[in-house]
Amino acid sequence: MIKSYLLVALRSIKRNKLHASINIIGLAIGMTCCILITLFVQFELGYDKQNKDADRIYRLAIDLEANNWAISAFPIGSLLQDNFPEVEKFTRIKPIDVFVQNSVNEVINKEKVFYADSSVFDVLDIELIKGDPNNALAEMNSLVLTEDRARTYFGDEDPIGKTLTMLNDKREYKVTGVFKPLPSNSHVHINMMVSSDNFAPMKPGAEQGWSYLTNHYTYLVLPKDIDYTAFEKKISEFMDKHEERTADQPKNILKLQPLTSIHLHSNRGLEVEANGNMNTVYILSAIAFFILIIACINFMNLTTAQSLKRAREVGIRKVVGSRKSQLVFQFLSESVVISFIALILSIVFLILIVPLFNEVSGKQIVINPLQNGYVSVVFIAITFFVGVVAGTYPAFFLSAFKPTQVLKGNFVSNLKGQLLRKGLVVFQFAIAFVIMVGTYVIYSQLDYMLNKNMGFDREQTLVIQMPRDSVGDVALKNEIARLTGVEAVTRFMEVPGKMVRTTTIWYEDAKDNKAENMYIFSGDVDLLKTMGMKMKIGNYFAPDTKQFYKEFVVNEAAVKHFGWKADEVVGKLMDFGERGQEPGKVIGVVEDFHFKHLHEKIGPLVLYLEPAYEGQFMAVKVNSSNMKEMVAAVESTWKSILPEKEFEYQFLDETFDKLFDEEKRLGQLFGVFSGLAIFISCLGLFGLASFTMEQNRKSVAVRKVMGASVSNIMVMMSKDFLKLVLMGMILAGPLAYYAMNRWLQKFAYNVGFTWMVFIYATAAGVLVAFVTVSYHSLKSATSNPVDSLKDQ
Amino acid sequence: MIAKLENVSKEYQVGDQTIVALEKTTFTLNEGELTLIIGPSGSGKTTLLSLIGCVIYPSTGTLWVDGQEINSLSHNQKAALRLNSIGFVFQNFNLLSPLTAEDNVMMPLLLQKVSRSEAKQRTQTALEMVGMHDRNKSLPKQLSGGQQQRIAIARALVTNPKIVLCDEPTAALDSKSLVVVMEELRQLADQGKSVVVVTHDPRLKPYAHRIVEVNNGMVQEVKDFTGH
Repeated sequence: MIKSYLLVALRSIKRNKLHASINIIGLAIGMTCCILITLFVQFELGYDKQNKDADRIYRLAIDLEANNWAISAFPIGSLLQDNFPEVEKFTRIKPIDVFVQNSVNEVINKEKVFYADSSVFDVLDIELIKGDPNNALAEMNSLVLTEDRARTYFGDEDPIGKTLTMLNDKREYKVTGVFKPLPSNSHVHINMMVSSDNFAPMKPGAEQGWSYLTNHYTYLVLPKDIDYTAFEKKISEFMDKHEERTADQPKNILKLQPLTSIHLHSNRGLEVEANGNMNTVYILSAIAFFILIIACINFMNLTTAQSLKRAREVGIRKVVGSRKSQLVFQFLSESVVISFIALILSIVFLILIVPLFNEVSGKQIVINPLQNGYVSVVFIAITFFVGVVAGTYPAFFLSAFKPTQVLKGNFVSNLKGQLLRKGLVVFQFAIAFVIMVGTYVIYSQLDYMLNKNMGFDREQTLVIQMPRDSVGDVALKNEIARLTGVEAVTRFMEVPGKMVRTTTIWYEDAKDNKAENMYIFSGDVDLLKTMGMKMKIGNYFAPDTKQFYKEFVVNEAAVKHFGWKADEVVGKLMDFGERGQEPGKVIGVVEDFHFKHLHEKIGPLVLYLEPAYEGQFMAVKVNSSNMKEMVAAVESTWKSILPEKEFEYQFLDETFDKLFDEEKRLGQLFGVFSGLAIFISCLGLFGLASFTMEQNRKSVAVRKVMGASVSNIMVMMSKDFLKLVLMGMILAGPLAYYAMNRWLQKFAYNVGFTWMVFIYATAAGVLVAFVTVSYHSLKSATSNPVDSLKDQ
Repeated sequence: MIAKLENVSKEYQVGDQTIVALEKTTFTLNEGELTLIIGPSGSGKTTLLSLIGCVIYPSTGTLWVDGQEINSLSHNQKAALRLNSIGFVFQNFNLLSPLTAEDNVMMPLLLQKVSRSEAKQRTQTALEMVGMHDRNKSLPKQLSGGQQQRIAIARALVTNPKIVLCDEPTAALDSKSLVVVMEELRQLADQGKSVVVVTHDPRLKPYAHRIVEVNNGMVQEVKDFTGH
């Protein structure tokens, strides 16, 4: 019997090539999106789960007044392990960007090298292929690296025992191990590690260990099922006691982040790598689901629309004794067969687009079932889901025909069926409309952020990373400033737009006279000129000042935060830490500029003057049409002054653009999915239009013969569809508004929701739908009416 | 003369083959005549009717309808010509089933953008002419074949066309209805319209002023009963 059903299914496909193609292509596209996004979601939710103790590992983070940070103090892991039996193990890692050289073959590369405790192998499941995890990083000057990095520096030779030099301190490190890289869905990617003993603040008992807060990460292994929120409270209170903090001092707020939640739920300052976003996962999942539903609706619509063609078959089967359940099973089998054919096409699509998707999303989705067992499950589940969801309604609809009616030829397509089909078209276009509006809003927001006035000039500005021991930075600055085409040069601590540095600052009139943690920034005397920033009140630091740490400039937000009056700002007292015996003075107010990501509001900022900017940045403002030549000139100057240092530069506008990678990716993905949603909806409309035109051949022919023009016929045939499309869009308007308005709220500065987006999306949707339907209505309007009338 | 065909032929291309549906034909249609086009199935009768009705266009030759040379007209001008000068009646009535008798008849007037109130009035007059004014709210399925055909005639007449083209108007009717319909068509011709009836039913011959026989795409014989 099943064979018979399959044969009927295949013959039915063969007989209705157009509709079957529309069904299969639509379902294949929908399934491709759905499979892709399901695998993407699996990838995102699988971050760090490869660790055998994944559910017991927590990252220790801290909350401060100015921001919440992903980092913690160097000695805290050891202190907690000594005082809390719950802390079974801990490890620390501290990344630095450094040039690494094989002195023998002169191979040199910039690497992110992690200072790590030897316990890293114990905590993070890093598998050593060569070397002993117990002592690979136990001694100073020991280094472990991945196979790939080993090959880069040593070719096919065995790297164990060989040495590499880190050019920051010129120290030689001996390779003691080779490890397998962490999976791509890890919140941190490590290619090279050296012993933490080589970094002074990480050494046991290091004096500066507590005060030196930098991008350093501590991971604790705690008992399974521990109430970690209670435990973080316990350790925060312990730290207050340990540091002997008094009641009027700010409390320690330590946070424990479950390892597996870091990627999607952590968005703290100084993250070890940019994390993902749970919202993106939700949004993409919803889109995938709805695209699949749009494709299923096509199937339902086209199958029930063709009910007239199948009615006779149903009648005959019933007359010869088929039960309704058998017919339901038969039609469901057909839809599963079509779904399976769509899956095959979908796999072809996946093979073609997964590499592109990985490039756009920055992920490594694997669709080979041999490498990812989950893939087979997704394939089977989605095929049956589509087959059953798309096929259930048509199966019950078709199997309900009464043989007495259909065999006498009295069967007429029922009104309920038509209404449902119309309702489904409305639903399809409502979904497509929401996705279209979403795409428009995301792109508008992206455009707004990329072009927003940041309060500083980012065009034609070269940013050079200074070496940590760049004693010659003043000489370099002066030499670069002399180059033709260079307008100004400044040195600063951090690149505006991505600043992270905070410290405690005391200011006059502070509440309870207590210092507050706030953002700080230092740029030399040429900062304003180079970056195009402006003073609001008073002056910036003068070239001949010697008042390092004793003169301050604040931004407008700080003045507001401090509660100072504009005419009293200059001369207000300020100091690092708590108030000292000789506090400094505020000399001016700089206009607000976006020193942090545009996602965050401009907060209070305190600027001071550093005596040196070693290891920081130099910005060069140029006025040249030939940037390549300009960069070459700057590099040549660099080489003449710092011949042994590698020259690294970036353009400020490009650096800035990179801050919006997530929005760009989301925009691109939205764009693609929105296009697909519209395409599949129109595919369904195309099929339904062809069916409707077929049904209305007589009506068209009669009107045509009576003298209706081509345009009369086209309007008549298109307007019903356009009404449905328009209705879908109107119904979806409030939902689109709510969803996108909520999305915009996460930005401190957003483009705002313009109602014009509805006009654009509606116009685009109606236009595309009109073009889709026009093919059939034009065909119908220009066909010979006599043939149609004779056929009736 | 209301229409003239001069060396008009119609060919169709089917794959590599050229099918000649109508050989070169020359003849005219006059006002006040009921012209019967007779011939067996597939002979080219309907092609000839469709050419006169401007729903298909000549492959060769020249066709004038109501003083206009149709090869020189655009699609919209041809549609306007059909709308204003030609009325059609079909074998299977071709009434639109969801519309009432009144709505079916009114349709060409609405295409002419006649106001609804005037259209309603003119529809009523047309229905009265065919004796169907009391069934104006009926749906086609509630009417007999003969009644449906009379509604179709009313629809063809409502725009007051100069030509009424009828394709097998009696094929689906019983003998009684046949007489009623043909008498109505003859009356229209007598009132000055040019009525063309395509049929293979010899019983219609007595109603004709002229008979045109079509066989294998050739107009073989033209009989003129005018004045008889």
